[in-house]
Amino acid sequence: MPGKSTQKPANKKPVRKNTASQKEPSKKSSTGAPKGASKVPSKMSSKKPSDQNSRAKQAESGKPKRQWKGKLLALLILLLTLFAAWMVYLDAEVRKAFDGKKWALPAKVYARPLALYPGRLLSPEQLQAELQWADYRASGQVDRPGTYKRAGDTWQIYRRGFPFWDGPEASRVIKVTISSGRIARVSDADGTQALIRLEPQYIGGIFPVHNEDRELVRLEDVPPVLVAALIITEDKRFFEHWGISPTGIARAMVANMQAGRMVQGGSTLTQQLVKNFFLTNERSLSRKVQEAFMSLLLELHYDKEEILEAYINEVYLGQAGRRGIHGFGLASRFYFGKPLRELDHAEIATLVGLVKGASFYNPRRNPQRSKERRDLILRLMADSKIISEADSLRAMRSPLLTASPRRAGQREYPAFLELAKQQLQQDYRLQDLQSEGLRIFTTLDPWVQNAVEQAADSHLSRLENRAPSLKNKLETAAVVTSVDGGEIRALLGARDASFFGFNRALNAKRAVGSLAKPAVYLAALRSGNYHWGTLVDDAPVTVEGQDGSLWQPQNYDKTSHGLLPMQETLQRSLNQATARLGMTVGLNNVVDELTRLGIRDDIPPYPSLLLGAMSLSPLEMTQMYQTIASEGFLMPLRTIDAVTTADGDMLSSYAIRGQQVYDPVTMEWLTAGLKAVVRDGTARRLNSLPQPLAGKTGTSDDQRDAWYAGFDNRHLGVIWVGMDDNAAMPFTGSSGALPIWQETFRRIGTEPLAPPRNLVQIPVNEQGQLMDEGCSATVYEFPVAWQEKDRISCESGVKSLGREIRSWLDRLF
Amino acid sequence: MARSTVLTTTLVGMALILGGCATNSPDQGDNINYGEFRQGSEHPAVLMLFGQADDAMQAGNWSAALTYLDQARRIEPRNPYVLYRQAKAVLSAGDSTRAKQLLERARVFANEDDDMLNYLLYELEFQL
Repeated sequence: MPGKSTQKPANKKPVRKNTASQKEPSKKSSTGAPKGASKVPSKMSSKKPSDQNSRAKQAESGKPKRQWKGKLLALLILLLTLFAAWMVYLDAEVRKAFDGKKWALPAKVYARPLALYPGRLLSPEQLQAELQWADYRASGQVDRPGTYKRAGDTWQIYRRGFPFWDGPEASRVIKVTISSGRIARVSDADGTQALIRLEPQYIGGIFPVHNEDRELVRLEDVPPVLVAALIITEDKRFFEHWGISPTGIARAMVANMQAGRMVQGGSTLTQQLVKNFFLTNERSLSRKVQEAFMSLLLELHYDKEEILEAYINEVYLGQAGRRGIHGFGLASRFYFGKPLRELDHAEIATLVGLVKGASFYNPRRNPQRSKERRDLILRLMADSKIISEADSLRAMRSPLLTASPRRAGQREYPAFLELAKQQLQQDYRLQDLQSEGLRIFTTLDPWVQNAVEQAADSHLSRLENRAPSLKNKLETAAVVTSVDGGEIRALLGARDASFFGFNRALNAKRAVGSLAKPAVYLAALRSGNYHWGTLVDDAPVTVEGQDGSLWQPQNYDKTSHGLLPMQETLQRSLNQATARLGMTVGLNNVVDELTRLGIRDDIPPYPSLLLGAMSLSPLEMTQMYQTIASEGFLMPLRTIDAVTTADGDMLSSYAIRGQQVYDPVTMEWLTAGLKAVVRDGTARRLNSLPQPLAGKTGTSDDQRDAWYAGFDNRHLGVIWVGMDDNAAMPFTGSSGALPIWQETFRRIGTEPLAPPRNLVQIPVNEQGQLMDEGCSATVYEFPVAWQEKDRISCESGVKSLGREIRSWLDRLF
Repeated sequence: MARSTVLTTTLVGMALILGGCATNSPDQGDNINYGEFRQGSEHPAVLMLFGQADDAMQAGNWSAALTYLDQARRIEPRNPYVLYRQAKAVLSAGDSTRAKQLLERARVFANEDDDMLNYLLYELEFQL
């Protein structure tokens, strides 16, 4: 794999190597120099001059003096040699780190780009939201990338350039017309276009241990005003000194002495860079000396522009949760939501002000302090003629505006990122993901993600209002995928969507309850002995286990409902009928269906599994329903579309893959039952949405888990609600989880299921017998092949088949 | 490698037949050429992506072709011609198992052309 062959970057490791090996020269000098030095005085003290033989004495006293000088010289040479060796070592360190890659660049993870093409379902609200999340600004004039204007149904957007996985696209002005919730036309300066993509939103990074994030910029892309402001603020003599500035140090010392405290630092930009780049935060004289020498060496080898560019990319400028914001390039996007070259004077001054203290002068947390610092820098900029006096005053009058920290590019999606990282690690080394600046294009749809987050949050609050004792105890998880591609469009791992921690969507194994029932009905349909109108007895059932224990399932309403059409037993989610049916078709057959649908866990064939007494994660349940929703195509649920290098070269793409494990006719037939669940059954509250839809509610024993899994023509959504301590709730799947699905799909737009291609409708009488066309009876859906089966005429009345079925069932139990 | 070439040739041949069957445009006549294979859709965005995929295929860049086609699939997820082309791309990249799976998927949506796709799957099976 390309990821395996990528070069190991020069990262922060030299820092540690440097610190450790630095001790070696000093050890040598402490064992060498003092030892030699101690001998000299001892020899000198042992020789006392004699009065009697002065010449001899002089000769004797001259000899040790020469010896002393010689040894001093030798010591000096030794020290110089050690110093030279140390310099060579430092020099090698400086050059090694500076010549190679200077930073470990985290992989940048992006959501899916919004594809604009005629016919696409797109509401004005979605377009507005997506533009805002991607840091576009409404403007009267669409005259620069990142601006847009809406006039009625037509949107004019100056789309930014972006390196997509299939090639870079330049910025351009586009027009999008929306009519009746769909895109009617997309055009640009060249006329009507078939397809244009908005650039995808950044949704997070795969960071190295220290969570440093940065966006590299070249010096020529940095506004000259920013460079000038940085220099006059931090190091006026940057272009004159050789890495250290004695006058600067002296001036700082005087200022600090006058103030009686540390008010000014004497470090040059080069020293600051060396400190951040090569050294630890230790404050000691030896570190200062090392910093000074390394600064000199850096200046010796590299020109000022290279050093400046490195500084601009290295400097720490803020924190976003776990993520350290380094460099002006990323800081510009982080604080102002736009690239560096689009910053105005006030914004430049605000960023430069952060260098002195990213936390202390944080414009969001400490706006007043940040504004004072900004205005001070604007004053300096005017005094130094970087900007005019008028520009400076105008900038000082402007409010300290920062982009909303709530917008999509500002936050991460921990649950989705965790799964994306897991899937990426099947093909890439973690080290490469953390350091090579790879670009990861994912399947996340921020509009869908936003919808499910909002829906979950508001519904859990409603549930807690109904049951105040559960306040802040309810948790949730959700997965939304595309029906046909298995792409994960949204993933919620916790109620707090920004939480980096236990990811319930992937790791919470919970009893799935009635969500497992479709496997029972699938086994029945595939047996050839059942159809949706077949009568099934919802009567008490007792099954004896191998250990002698008795399994006696109850219905939710604690009553038995007698003989009912199979479709009704599914739509009402009747436990006794389902258990009876499952035992009739065979436990192993049901287990086989679960496995074939995509459940990979080992499922022991206990009777209780018929009612979902097995623990699976929401993602695993999504896999099962994905196979049903996609008409039998078992496909991996995936988060990754493509991976490119930092330069945009594609390393991998992950298009659709899978296996048709079921005949689509069978899946359409099963889906007919799931449609009935929504139309007339436990999910009928979805009737407010466009129909038909398909789904199944699920409630585990004692109502510890509330589930809903359902799909429309585009998306499948699986929702779970419960408590981490597995306590019982006063909610069912229908009241606990279904409303979250309902609200999510209302927000993202529901597309009714397409009519079945392989089913026909056949009337069935109350005894479950197929009747001739046109008979007055309940109509059920059947595979086309069932048209050839024997039927009874409308006039022939009721045959005794119903009783036969009943007695056949009774024989079994 | 030789096997892949044979399979690709077979698939391209069948594609041309399918393309010809799928289109009733009067300007096409009897001379079927590769360009006509693009008529697996009437959606302008899908046709544009088909064109980009074709260019990538001709340049031997199967991976890029697959991503263009996957974008097309998102627009018309149940268009068998999209899946067919994806099968062709993965086959060109040497993955005949995946090609077969995609063809089986295409068959789910290929109502009128079932015979053709079945034949194609048969051919593929024969080659495997």
